[in-house]
Amino acid sequence: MTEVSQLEMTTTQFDSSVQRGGMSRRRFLAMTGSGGAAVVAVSALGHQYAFATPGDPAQGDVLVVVFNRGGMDGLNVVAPYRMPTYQALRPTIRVKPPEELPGSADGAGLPLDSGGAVAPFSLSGVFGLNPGMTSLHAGPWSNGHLAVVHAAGMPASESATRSHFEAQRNWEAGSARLDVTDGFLNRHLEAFSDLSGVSAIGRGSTLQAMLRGTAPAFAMSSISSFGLRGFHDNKSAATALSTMYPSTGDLLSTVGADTLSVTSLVSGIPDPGPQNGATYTWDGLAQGLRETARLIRANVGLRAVVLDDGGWDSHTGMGSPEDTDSSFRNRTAEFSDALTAFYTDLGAAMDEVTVVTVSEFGRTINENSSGGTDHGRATAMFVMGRNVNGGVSVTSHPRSPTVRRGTWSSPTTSDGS
Amino acid sequence: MAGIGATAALTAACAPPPVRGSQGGQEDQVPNAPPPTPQPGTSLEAAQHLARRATFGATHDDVQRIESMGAAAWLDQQLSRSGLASAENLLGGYVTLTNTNEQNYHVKDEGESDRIVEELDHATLLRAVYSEQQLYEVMCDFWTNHFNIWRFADWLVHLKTRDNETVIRKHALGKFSDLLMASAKSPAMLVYLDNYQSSGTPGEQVNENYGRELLELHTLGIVDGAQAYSEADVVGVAKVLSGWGISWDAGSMHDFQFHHWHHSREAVSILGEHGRALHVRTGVTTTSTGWPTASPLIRFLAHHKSTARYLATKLVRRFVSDTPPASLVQRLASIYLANDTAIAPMLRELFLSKEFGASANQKVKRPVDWMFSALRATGAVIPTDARGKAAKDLRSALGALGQPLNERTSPDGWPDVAAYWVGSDGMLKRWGVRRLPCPFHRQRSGEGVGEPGSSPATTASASNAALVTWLGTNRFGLSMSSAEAAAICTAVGAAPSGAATQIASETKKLQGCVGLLLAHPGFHRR
Repeated sequence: MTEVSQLEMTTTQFDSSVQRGGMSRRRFLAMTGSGGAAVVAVSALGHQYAFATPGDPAQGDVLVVVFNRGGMDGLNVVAPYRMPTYQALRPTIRVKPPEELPGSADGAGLPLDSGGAVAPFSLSGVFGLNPGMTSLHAGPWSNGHLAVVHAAGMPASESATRSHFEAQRNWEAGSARLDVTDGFLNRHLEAFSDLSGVSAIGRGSTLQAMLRGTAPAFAMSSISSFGLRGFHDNKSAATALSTMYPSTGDLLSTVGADTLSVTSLVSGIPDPGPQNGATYTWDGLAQGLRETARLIRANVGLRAVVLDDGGWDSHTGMGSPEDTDSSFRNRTAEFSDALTAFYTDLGAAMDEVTVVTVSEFGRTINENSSGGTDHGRATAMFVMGRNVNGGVSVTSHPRSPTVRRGTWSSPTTSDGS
Repeated sequence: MAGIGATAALTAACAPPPVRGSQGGQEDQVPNAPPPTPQPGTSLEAAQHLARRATFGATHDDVQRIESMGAAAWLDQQLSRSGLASAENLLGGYVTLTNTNEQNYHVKDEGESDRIVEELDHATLLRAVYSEQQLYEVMCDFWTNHFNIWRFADWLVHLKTRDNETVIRKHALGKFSDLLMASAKSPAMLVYLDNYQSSGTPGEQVNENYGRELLELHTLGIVDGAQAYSEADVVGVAKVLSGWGISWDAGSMHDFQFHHWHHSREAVSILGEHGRALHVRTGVTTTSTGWPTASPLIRFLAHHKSTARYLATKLVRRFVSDTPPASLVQRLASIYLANDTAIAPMLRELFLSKEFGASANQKVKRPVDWMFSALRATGAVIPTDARGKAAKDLRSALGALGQPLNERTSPDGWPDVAAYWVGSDGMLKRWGVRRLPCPFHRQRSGEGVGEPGSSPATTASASNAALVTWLGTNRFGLSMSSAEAAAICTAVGAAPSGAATQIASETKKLQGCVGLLLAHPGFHRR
């Protein structure tokens, strides 16, 4: 609890037009990581919604965390597109507001000026989604089920690192403290008294650090491969393996034993296919979310899922957002389409599922000589679900950035580091 | 397959089979076992421990050699590589290994980039499994990870091979300062971390990517959250290195080239504010020079005490413990600095240290370690055709296990701690590897990988359980309980007390036993 709360979010600087929101981000993450039945999302209006399933505790709520690896450039995902400093420092890669592209149906930022329950939107005119993100904009956002927590990062008092690996470690531990070695999501799981079955899954061949710890959590690269294969008699082989991997022992032994105990729960779960007209693309995140929806429906005890979404380290060649072939726009489109397909697929069940996205840091507000951006501090997070109050939250606005081009200044920090 | 050796048979004719090690409790069941010969030098346990860590898989022969030579002499031979056969003779026809960047560019241009990928990967595997220069190969892997380059980043796939051959393999046991300089001028690195398109001329922001990773991952490092450098240092280093790029000229295409028109001419000081070693470069005024000013920076970084500590920490993590003992790290760092950044003296101290001696079986194998050690333990005969089915199968098996060769996407290289690798998916894939196209699976007219155990040496007077225990102990270095041996027998449908000829005569049963022995937790530790 204390460890988690140390990882509050801080802000980069935006123009002073950004107004203060409500609930502190410290509290947001603290509650996300602290367990209990409630997971809390925030909105720009300061509302908070605890969502749980009082009527059906066996079903349980599911927290789905997507880690945007590489340092997502939040300023080109949720762009402060009318901000003069932003416009000046990103001459070739900035997202443009609609008034700059009259008559162009495709290319301008997608205005975050209303979002379902939030009307009139308090930050109207400030932010626009990257034009690649039409699916999220037309679906979850306009339904009021998508919240943006902007300028989210670690306070410099905790860690000012711009290292991918240090920052990812800190996020996943929920602390910059070296003696915190388990993951914040595993601590969240520890708080449940009724965990059983496949309570947590990390999508991939290895388990994400945020899921490591004492509560059982399972790495799974796909449903179909999650089983013991290859022996003439797999059942007998499993019996022999149980002898070799007693549940009391070191990490190797306990993970082996845990794994042997749950494979039968996963094998043969139904695959009804995507529902409600949802269409998943073939990239890793989309396919991971498709299987996540399938596992949620199969009721195997799932409480938490982590998926990695790589490819955000945009040091070069981001391209113009108006260019439908540009790399960064396409990256945002893929991300947007994957989340939207999941939201559509689960439909009404999204009242028991919350998706939270996180990235290790944001990027410099200035573009570099290679048409990209370098490592910065804070970025944008998304929270999606039917019990999320849509909107954009930026709780405080730091001072305007001081950028001295051609010097060593690192312009996106608000703390001068 | 000439040159690999003909010892495919797992249980074959190394008779009489001595029971090695004190474990197992089955010694009296194995006929004709001679009493173990006591060695004056290195004990069996110490030899096994050293072989597990300093090779890609301890074979029976490795352990015997260390026992008879003594650990120090064996290490010295490994470090000097004198008299030890390489595996280069297996790589005939691998033209992309020796091609220039330009030649490999043309290979790629002709739609043959798969050939570049496959030759590099199969060369990596054959060298790791068959070279007698095992510690050298292990260190090549270490530096490949330290200077990791994802070959499918951007368009650099044809550049990775030269980095492998002339940066990593050339300097793997040499001086780190030479290795670092070679890496800094490596076209693959300059493209991977974007330095080739960085410009530090007035009005432009340098690309910080390579400068940052040079400090964080290649030299000064971050150890236990502590780092010696600041953000200003990252930008300063990026400025000094701006203009280090690649050639676009025919004849030297994609080789290193300095572009003075992209080079920042600002004065730069590195690490000065920390009161430690300071590197100062005054402003560069000429228009055509400038690139030599980066070389002193590279040497400065190589000789920095933070670099010494960081490299020592990583070596100790690789070879001793997931939680490196500070005492050993400190000694290695001092040795590194006292020997002008030479790598071999650090390794010698490490493997002969008491900290190393006390760390047996505390490391968990990464998938590559596990796969290579399985190939070595079973004496697998691997076809050398880099583009054949066996090579492709092995590549895809490593991918399924979670550690595809040369395909770590991020510049930090594969982690080397148990917490990262021990997970359900990895366990299931390792256990079920027989289903993957791999050596324990099938043999099909020379296309598959050699089958172990085609000619088992056993007698009717030994039991199935004794045979399994003998295999586990002698071929896989395991310490097995009788309950485990019995469980394995039962799993393959053989009575533990039945005659060993039952398992030995049925390939399917023997393969099942080998599969379960490879799944034994002891074979996942090193």
